[in-house]
This record gives sequence, C-alpha cells and structure tokens, in this order.
Amino acid sequence: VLALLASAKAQPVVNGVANVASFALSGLPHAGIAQGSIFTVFGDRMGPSSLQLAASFPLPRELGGTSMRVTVGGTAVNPIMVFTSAAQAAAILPSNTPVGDGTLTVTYQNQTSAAFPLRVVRSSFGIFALNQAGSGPAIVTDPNFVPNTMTRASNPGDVMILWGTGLGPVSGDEAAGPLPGEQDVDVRVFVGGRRADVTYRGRSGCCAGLDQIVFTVPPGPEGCAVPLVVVAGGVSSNFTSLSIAAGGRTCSDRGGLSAEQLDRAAASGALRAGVVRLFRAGSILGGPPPLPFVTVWTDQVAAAFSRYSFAGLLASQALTILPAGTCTVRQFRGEQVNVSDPAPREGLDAGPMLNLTGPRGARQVARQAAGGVYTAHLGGGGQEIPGLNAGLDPDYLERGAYSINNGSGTAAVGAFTARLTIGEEVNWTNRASVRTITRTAPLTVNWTGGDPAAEFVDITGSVVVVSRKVGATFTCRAPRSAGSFTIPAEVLSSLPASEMQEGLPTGYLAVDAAYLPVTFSAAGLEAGFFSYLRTASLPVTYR
Amino acid sequence: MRTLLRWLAWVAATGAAFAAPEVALVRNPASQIPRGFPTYGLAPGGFMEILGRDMGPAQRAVARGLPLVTELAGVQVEISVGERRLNAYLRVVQANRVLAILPSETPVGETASIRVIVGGQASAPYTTRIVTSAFGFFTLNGTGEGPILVLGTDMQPRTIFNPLQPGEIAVALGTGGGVTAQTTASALPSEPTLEGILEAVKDAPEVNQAGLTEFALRFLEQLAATPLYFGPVAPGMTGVVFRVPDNNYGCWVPVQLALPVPHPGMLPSNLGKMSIKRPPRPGIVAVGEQDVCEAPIGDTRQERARKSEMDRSTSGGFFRYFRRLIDTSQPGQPVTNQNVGVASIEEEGYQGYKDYEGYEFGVLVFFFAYVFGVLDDPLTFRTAGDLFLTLPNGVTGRLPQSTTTPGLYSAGLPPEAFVSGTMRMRSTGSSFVGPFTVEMPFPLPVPALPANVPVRGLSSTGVIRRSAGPLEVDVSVFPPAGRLSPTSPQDEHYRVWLRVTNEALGGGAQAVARCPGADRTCSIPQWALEMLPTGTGFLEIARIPNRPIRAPLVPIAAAADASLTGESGVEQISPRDVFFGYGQLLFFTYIQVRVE
Repeated sequence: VLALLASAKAQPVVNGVANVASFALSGLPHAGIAQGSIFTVFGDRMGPSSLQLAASFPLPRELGGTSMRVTVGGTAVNPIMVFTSAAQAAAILPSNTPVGDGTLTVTYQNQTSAAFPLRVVRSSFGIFALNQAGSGPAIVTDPNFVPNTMTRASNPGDVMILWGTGLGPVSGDEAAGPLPGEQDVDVRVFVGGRRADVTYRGRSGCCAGLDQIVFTVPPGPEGCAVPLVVVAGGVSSNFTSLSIAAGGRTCSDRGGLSAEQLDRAAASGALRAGVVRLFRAGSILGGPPPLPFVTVWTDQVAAAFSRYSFAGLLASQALTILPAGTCTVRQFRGEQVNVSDPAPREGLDAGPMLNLTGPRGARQVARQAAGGVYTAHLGGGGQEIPGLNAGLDPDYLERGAYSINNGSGTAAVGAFTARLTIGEEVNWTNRASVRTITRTAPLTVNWTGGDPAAEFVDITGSVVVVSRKVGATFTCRAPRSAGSFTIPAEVLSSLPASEMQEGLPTGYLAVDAAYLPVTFSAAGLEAGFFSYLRTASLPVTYR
Repeated sequence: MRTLLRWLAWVAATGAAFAAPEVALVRNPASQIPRGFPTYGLAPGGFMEILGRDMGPAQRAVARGLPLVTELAGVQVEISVGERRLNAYLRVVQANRVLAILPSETPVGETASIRVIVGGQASAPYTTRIVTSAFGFFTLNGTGEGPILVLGTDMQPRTIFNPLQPGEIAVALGTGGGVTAQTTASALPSEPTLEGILEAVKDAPEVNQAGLTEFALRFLEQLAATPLYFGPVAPGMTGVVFRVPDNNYGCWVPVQLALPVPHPGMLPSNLGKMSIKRPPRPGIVAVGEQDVCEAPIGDTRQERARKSEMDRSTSGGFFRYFRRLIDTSQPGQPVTNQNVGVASIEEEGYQGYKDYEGYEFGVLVFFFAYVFGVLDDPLTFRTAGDLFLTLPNGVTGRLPQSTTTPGLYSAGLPPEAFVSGTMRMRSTGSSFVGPFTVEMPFPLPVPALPANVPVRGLSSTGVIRRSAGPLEVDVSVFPPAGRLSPTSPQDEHYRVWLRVTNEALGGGAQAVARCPGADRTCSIPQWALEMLPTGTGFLEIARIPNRPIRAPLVPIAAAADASLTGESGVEQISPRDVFFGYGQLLFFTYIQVRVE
C-alpha cells in the first residue's frame, strides 16, 4: 500500500494545455496548439518547486528534470523546454509535429504523467496580454519597444508591433535560436473592427517560438480599450485591446475615464474608483424551438470600490468602455457565462451597505466579506409557481429613476449619491428569424425604438460547451440610431459550436439598449461610475 | 503496520465528522404524489424535489438562467438507472430541499436510484421510479391539490376571480410530462413565445389528428378536452394548451390529464381544479353579472371568492348542523340504526355532559380565515370566544370549543332539539371576531336516514377493489330530495367520499364524487379509484344542501370593530368580513372500508 501511495505521489499530473499567450481553453475554436508555438502546461508535480527558466540557446529538451512528449498519429516529438515548475511548465511545440489530435505526457524525475489530449494545428495565434491571462490590453509596442498603454496610446497611422505566438511552423532548428522571417500564413489584424495593414508577420528576432506582427493602426474607433484580434490561417486569436487616441498619448473613454484622470493616476501611481452596476439578465426559457416560453429576469446590483496601482490599472478591464461599432470576445470556465477581471486591485470600504431606491422601493446592498465589493439580488426569477419556486422576489429593475448612496460614507469613500434612469428597451425586429447562426458568416441584427437617452445597443452572444464546462461570450456595441449591426465573422468564429441541453441550444443572443455610465463623485475617489446593463438572451444554435 | 492502521482509522474518523446528506423523499414538486402511490413516478425532463437534510448550504442557493448547471454550491445530484449514471440539473439547493431537473436522456426504470452529493459525500441511494410520463399540475396552493396554475392568452392566471371562459384557449403548467411533445396544431409559430403558440393553435380542431395526441384532459368523468399541445415549454416545465370546454363550468371543476386508455409508464396526473365561467344561457341576458365563476353544486365558496376579490383575504363563520349515523359494526356491513355514538352538549348551568344515544345529531361551528391564493387550503381556524347556542326547543348551552383547534366548536344535540324553529347563537367575542348574535331558521323536521345504502363495488366484508370498476352508490334510498333545504330538490346534491389511509406510506388519499340531487346513483369512477393507494378508511355518503342558510351576524357592541386587531402572525382581516355566517344541514352515513 505504501509503495502504491509513494508511486501515486510522484507521478506528474497534467490538467490542461494552452497557448501561452491566449490561454485558450480546451473546447474553444482557438484552443489548438500551433506548430512551432509556445504552449503552457498546467498540472502538478511536473517540475521543481521553484520556476526554472531556460537561460540560453540552444534551448533544452529537458529542463530541471522535466521533459515532454507529444504524440500525434504515431509520430512522437519532444517539445523544446522554455520553463518548468511543479504547477506550470512551457515549451515550444516543434514545427515538425504532425497536425491532428494527439496526446502529451510530462516526465519529471523519471515519472511520466498520464497522456493528456491536445490538438495540433498549423496556426492558432495567441496575443500576449498585460494581465497574463489572455484578455484585456494586449502587449503591443511601438518600433522602439515602448508598450501601448492608456497613457502611451497609439494614434491612427502609428506603426505598432503585436507580440504573440502561434502563427505557424518555421523551418530550421527552433532550439538553436530565433528564426525570424516572413511566414507564409494569411494574417489579418482587426483594430476596432477595422482591418489594419500588416507589414510583417513572423518570428521575432529575439526569441524562439515568439511571433511578432507589425501593423499600422487604422483610423476608426478610439478609446482606451479598442478591440484587437488577429485572424491567422483562418483562426481567430484571443480578443485583446489597444489604447488609441486621436491626438496626444493618453486615451479616454466617453462616459469612462478621462485623459486627465489617467494622467493624474500616472503621476500619483494609483487610481481609486467606484463602479456600481445595475444588471438585468434575462433568459428566454422555453421548450425546443419554436416553443420557448417566457423571459425570466434576474435583477442584481453589484458595486466595487477599488484602489488600482497604476500598473494594475493598465492591465484592468474594469474601468474601460467598449467603443461603439466594435466587438470583443471573452472566454470563461464553468457551466454558465462567467467573466471576471483578473487585474489586481485593493478593495476600499464604502460603508456597511449601499442604499438603492427605485420605482419598486428601497433595497440595501450588503458589503461582502472582503474586497470593497457589494452585491445584492434585487428580484426576478420568473413567474412564481407555488411548490416550485416559492419565495421569488418580483422583478425590480423596470423603467424609472434609480439612485444609490452609501449613507454617511467612510474615510476611504466619502458620502455619495448616484442617479440614473432606465427607459424603454429596443425592439429586436429580426429576432424570429435568428434561430441558427453560422459562425463563419457575419450576422446582421436589426432593431427599432428604444430610450432616446440610450445611445447604444449592445449585441451580446455566448456559447457554453456544457460537456466541457467552458465557453465564450462576445459583446458588440452599435449606435442605437443605426437600427442595424452586422456581427463580423471573426467574432462569431471565436465562439464554439453550441450543444443541446434539455431541448435548448446552449448558445444565446441578445440585443439590448445600452447607456453610457453616469459619473458620480465622492471624497477619496478619483472616479465613480453608475451604470445599467440589460441582457435578454434568446437561445440560438451556433454551428 | 499499526501506525498505518491508526492513520487509516484517523482518516476514517475525520471523514465521519462531516454529516452525510440524507434524502427522505423524492417527488414531483407539482403533484407531490408520494412514493408508494399507484401514480408515483418521475419523468425524464421533469422537475424533481428532494427533501431531506444536510443536502447543501443553510441559505438557499439558486441557479438562474441558462444553461442549466449540474453543480451548485458544492452540491450534485446523481441518478443511476441500471448502468447509466447522470447528473441532474440543479435549480435550488438548500440543506433540507433540492430542486432539480431529471435530464431528458434519463432512461426509464422501475428501480432508479438518486443520491445527493455534497462536498464529495454522498447520501444513501433513494430508490425511485422513472417513467415515460408522470405529469403533475402545479397548483395555486403549492400542495398538488386544488386549483391548478392555468393561464389565459393574456398570460394572466385564471382563478375563481378571473375564471376561464368556455371556448377560450388556455395553458396549464406542470412538470413531468415527459420529453415528447404532442400537438394537434398543424403549424406552430416560429416566434418563440407562448402567445405565438396560442395564436397558432387557437384555430386548431379539438379532435385528435393523425394520432398525434394521446393525452386528454378530463373533467370529472367526461372526456372533455383534447390538448392542442402537450409537451415541454421550458426546462423542466410541461405545458398543456387546450380549449376550455363548454360542457363544464364551476368554481372548482376537477381536471386531470390522462390517457383515455391506461398505458404502462404513462401515469395520470394529479387531480386539480379549474374555475370555468358558466356558458351564456340562451334567452337570458345577464344584467350586472360579475365575471366570476359559479358553482353548479355550490357551497359558499363563490361568496368567499367575491369577497376575497375585494379584500385579498376572507374570513367568516360556518355553522353546520348535521345528522349522522355511524356504523360501528363490522366493516362493510349494512348500515343499521344501532348507533352507539355519543352526543353531548354542555348545558348552561349544567355541570357535566348529557349523553344521547341513537341517531347522532350535532352542530359544528367554526370561524376561519383564508388568505388569497390558498382558498382551497384547509381552513385556518380562529377562536370566537365562548359560544352559546339556543336550540329550537329552547335549551341553551355552551358549545365546547376544541382545545387543539381553537375556533372549532362541536357538540352532539338531543334529537328533540330538532324541531322547527330558530337556532340562536351568541358569542362573547375574541380578538378575531367581536361579540355577536345570530339567528338561523331551521327547516325541520329532519328525515330519517335509510337503513341501508347499496354500494356496488363494495363487498360484504367492506373491501373495495380498485380494478373492479367504479364504486356506484344507490342514493335513491335516501329520503325524497328537497327535505334538507328549504327551497327545491335542485338545491341539493350527493357527495360520495372515499378516504384511504396507508400507515406504511405515512399518508393516504381520497376520492370525492359530487352528483346532482336528482340523480339515483352517484359513482366514483374507476380511474379515480386507481389513483388511491391500498389501505383502510371510510366511505361517507352524504346529501348536502347546495345553498346554506344565510344568517348575518349581528354585532353586539359597536366596539366589535376595535377588537379586530388580528392575532400575532395572522393576516389582518378587515372587520366586515366576519359579519356573515352560514348554516347547513348535512345528512350522511359512514362505512368503514378496506381498499385493495
């Protein structure tokens, strides 16, 4: 028994394999590992307790006692090690690895893990992101290698270098050193939905497995989080963002952070902000099409009072606003849509509770255990059915005026009161014809009406691969007055195919009016935003 | 080795320190039919309610929206049928209750098992039965009985206050109908709304088309409506779209969904009730008629409905005089007049009880409160203080009040009290009802009970076999109709009530049939008998006046209103509600039976 226990303890365990830049989750369209790309392996007992990095060329096939083996179609290769540790290791997948479904094993101190499945593809580009999680601000530099940030924003026409991995295979000895040169792969770069001119696509001159794409920032949407995506070899990368300013080097978001606020944050080294969101999520529950039944609302409020270090602010997505006319995509783990901002923040105490009032009365929003976070379920849940869901609260977030305050405030967050008004929703006019979405083709949605105060319409879609408990979600923002928006194929193709669950597809699409946040001020905060977001999701099939 | 064993023992002890979840009951949350009943079962794609303890967090965790989740707050529910194991979709988890959806791909099986897993600890398997279809209507009171949840095309619930109209399209909601949709509508809409479905089916014929529809809604024993659609309408939810028939009406029309011909694995639903407005009568123009239901064999509930509509709650007093013959001979033996029941009334100024033998006459008085939405629930009794009754023969006594159920007063009465005249009652009042007096005319003489009531389907040993056909009571032996109420024979009806208790199941069930007073027989149909469990119980046969004797309460003091402050934890009742009362003379007999 003891021998078995000892044996079990020593065997490495592999839990996941992903592109080291995108961290694309297995089950998503861009989760394949490209030939010649750097990939990372998550697990346990895969290497030494402290991280060990390959320090010089040639890169080794074994590092700190760790080696890997990838087998595809009977051909086995040994990846080139980049770093190793007990919980995470990284390597370059040799360009001569066959394309197809295969397995990976990790060997550490002569103990080999169980085979873990992976798919090898020719191209699947991942963009490095500042948050080291594959989302939010991308690692993009100017020709002098100065990174693009909110206070070092690009201007239209600037030539920039985008860093990532996964463009595809190269010729030569990848372990020996960099192999720069144009690669024969179709690369399209979209900045805020506009295609950018690409002047170089290939390995960097510094490093093995590391790609760079040189492009020119196109005219178009501006802001602190203009979506950036690369389609390489027909596969969309992770969606990241770029800060673009029409002039100057500090970006700003209309309805969000101003250039002055960002410059002050740069000077002081931090920014303290409060974000309060009223959120109405609706699911159209029903039987197999064409028999859905009713929209069930869930009304919630969430608030976060935070101090961001300036570095943390630059990596964060919590305070940025999606520019009109653009789309972005996020991935998530779990059985339902669940995205969060991994950027570090320090919570600020705004008081024991917030006080929300609206047409349906007053509610208190309790402070959570830590982190300056306040949340409350406000109501909703559908028609109360005795014996089934008794105790439901009635819907709360309906049309009307809302205000929220924190009473007398605290030393960290002074007293504030914020107000907003929820108006008429838009009418999604071609809803009935959207039942199946072909992800490789653009999709146009149309709407009419809506609150004139709501400047935008958000088109939100998501797919959950329930069998693997992963998924992806996109949001596109369009001017409400446009009455129509076409979701680009590179957005839709970033989502996986939906599955069926209880007669319903696990894909969703929503078209809702969207407002700019309302700002509020409080002693101790440099910025405060109060916003309302509604998403009424229709189950649709993504194929 | 000893060290290893100690270590293993410590691990085992550590594990035992955490309470394992316990499952006490798994059922359809709509019908709430318990395990052991003939119609018990769970259907793939339907909701199941798991009751027990230590099954999750103390605070309720709710999974909202789509997709459905298989893990919530660290809780999973595993279903095993044969070699197949699946995880249920969770909607609500709490320590004592889990609400989950059986995956549609769950295989049917007579010996499926369900386990609740919390933080890796699994409950003992609970054996259940997975069938193709086990539909349960959701009911307004959440108990699986009484008025069902049915919506009109305006998406508003149809209740006694807003009854269904004959001919309108409606949808009843439930769960457990199975995964296959059936419809008679030739073209269902592309727009995924209930309104769209209703629009598409509104012109569909009611008859079965091409064998698509098998289930039928039945009202009492009549096959009165074929569903236009029967199938899933949302995860876990089944809808029954139907056209309201024009051959039944009333505040409490019994309804059931069942196959016209029984089929294994396709269980009939629980029996619910619908409120259907009376169809327009040719040549009669309703003047000022309210849009309420009307009970054809009514009692007082229509009145309560009217009042409740105004007040959202209702209350009142109910006075029931009865004449009862209890058969305490052998079960199933013909009813005789050799009654040994004890009747008593505590006379004012009389220390002790005075017993009467023979026919038991009695009086039952209760004061009650209903809260809107639970009108078919058992009454919530409220005390009215001391009650003094003056019988038509002039005897006055204080009515004993139940010590366990304050507000319920009952007493046997001397036969000589039943003479023509007036009953008078006086209350000292309580916090619920102020002091009052009431006078009620009493339509006597009371007819004699029949010596024997023939019942086809009841053996001489008191056995009722559920599969042997309907239970048919020959009510023609009762005294001529029209003797109980002061108006006409049409104002009386018969009630046949079979109640069964099964101790092993920890409960029982009942079947009730009501028949017009002019009928010569009154039957409980076989399909109703087949819903009952085996067990012992009684068969009660009664003739009941449709309309009660109305007698408004007269407040004794103006201060009565001030006393209506409500009791702690009790719905506030507006003063005017309590100022009405009803009297009713029942006439019934009672036979002990065993149901097999």
